[in-house]
Amino acid sequence: MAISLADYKRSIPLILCFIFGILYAFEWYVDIRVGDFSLSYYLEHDMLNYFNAMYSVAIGIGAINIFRIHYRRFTRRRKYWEYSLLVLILIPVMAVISVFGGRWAIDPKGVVVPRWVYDSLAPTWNFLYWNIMSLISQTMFSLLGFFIISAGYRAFRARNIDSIILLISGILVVLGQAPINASVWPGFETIKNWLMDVPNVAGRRGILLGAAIGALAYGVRVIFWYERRPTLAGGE
Amino acid sequence: MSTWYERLENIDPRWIYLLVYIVIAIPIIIPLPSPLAITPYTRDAFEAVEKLPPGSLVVLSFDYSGANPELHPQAIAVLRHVVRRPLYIYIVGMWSDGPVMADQIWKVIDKTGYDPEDPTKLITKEYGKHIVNLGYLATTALIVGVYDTITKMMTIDFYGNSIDSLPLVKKFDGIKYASLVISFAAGSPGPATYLQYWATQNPNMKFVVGSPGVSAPGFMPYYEAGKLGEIGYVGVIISMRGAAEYETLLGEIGLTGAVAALNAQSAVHYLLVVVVILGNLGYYLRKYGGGGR
Repeated sequence: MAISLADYKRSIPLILCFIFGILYAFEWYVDIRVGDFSLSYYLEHDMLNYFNAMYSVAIGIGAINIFRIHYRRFTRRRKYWEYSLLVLILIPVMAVISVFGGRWAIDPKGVVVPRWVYDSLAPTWNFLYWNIMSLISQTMFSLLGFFIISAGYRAFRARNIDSIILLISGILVVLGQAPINASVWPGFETIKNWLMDVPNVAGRRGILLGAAIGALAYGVRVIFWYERRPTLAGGE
Repeated sequence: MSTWYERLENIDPRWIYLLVYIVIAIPIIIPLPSPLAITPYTRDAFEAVEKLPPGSLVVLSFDYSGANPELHPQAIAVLRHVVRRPLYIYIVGMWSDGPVMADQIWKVIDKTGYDPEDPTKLITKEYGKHIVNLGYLATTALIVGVYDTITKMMTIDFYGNSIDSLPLVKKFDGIKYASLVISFAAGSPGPATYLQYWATQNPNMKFVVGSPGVSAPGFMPYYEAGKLGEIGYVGVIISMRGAAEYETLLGEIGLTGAVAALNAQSAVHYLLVVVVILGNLGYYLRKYGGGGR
């Protein structure tokens, strides 16, 4: 499908893709120097700041989007709206406390914002972060152990030759990684190390190389407008 | 009415959860000594620190949050090791919580170690002179920038001290002076970022990674490359067990609590094997022994 320059909503993203795609691909291989100016240095240092600024804005947009979704769910009393209400209360509360009293508060020394704001909010932030958020995260991580055992029991079935190989190698790695294996049979350790160092590395290298070549091909397609989905220029 | 082998194949997950709970709880309640074989991955990581000449600069990158119980014991053991040796230390983190985790360790850890300027002298390591927490490396530009010049990219350290006032920063104004970088990596961003931006600029800089058990296979191709002297990792500390091995090599048993958790970890590993075998036994008996589908 031809893209008309007059159709700026489609053409501008594609033109930007082309310019920056070429620039970044180019700087990786060739550095242009004019006096003190180095294109590679400029792209790696200064241009990256723009990328980081856009990235931060994207996080902000994500937060707004979450807020909108849960607001709609709450106002329409959809299933589990109570949790949405909690999200609606806690996002702004945590945001305000973090901005003024968190570890990375905007003005902890009280240059602009009065110092008492930081002093009064910091203990609350510490409590919310270390006594609630951190513990909830640790609990979630710990629960994974229960689910992994249960999922392993239900999913690991030796149904065909592929799954038999996977199952046996998985069991050998698990036994080899168990710290007590030194007193059960030291051979588990040797087998596990071999599985990790040889078949695992060979497979991983294949996947990494394949993914890298695929990413390169995809990048070329995006830069030269064969792939329009990232910019929605294909109209999807 | 289901047969016994059908029931074997369809055990209620709640029984499995109860079993997991029991096999973890008993070894923690009744601690017993646990033999431990040192893996080559941990030994290589330990040796990478041990072989550094006195006065070298080490960068520890805390790329995890409070939700990673496997990495924190590793970080405790390694930080204690680098403090004990006559080395200078920078702390950074690509995860915002990372430098906070480092601060928690620094507050309680034994700070005695050998003086980098006189390796025969035992001293108490001082913040600012021997170790600096540079804080959160929030952006790629910062990661790239601090490699060359820290003072150009940062104005304060993690504690709010002026970066220019710190003697260690005056001595090494750039990550490029580091001989070894150790990243405790829970996910992304992780040490691959350092390989991309730092290792490519300085082939002499060595890298070690501390990894959760589940991520370790992904680091192995880079470990194999690192062993050959290519860009990669010269050591990998894997999971809680790696922390226990490091603690054992360090000779400070009880430092991280990882050794005490080993029996629980072993028990749960064996439980996984047992339930997988039981599930398959039920599957095969149903399929071949009981007129299965």
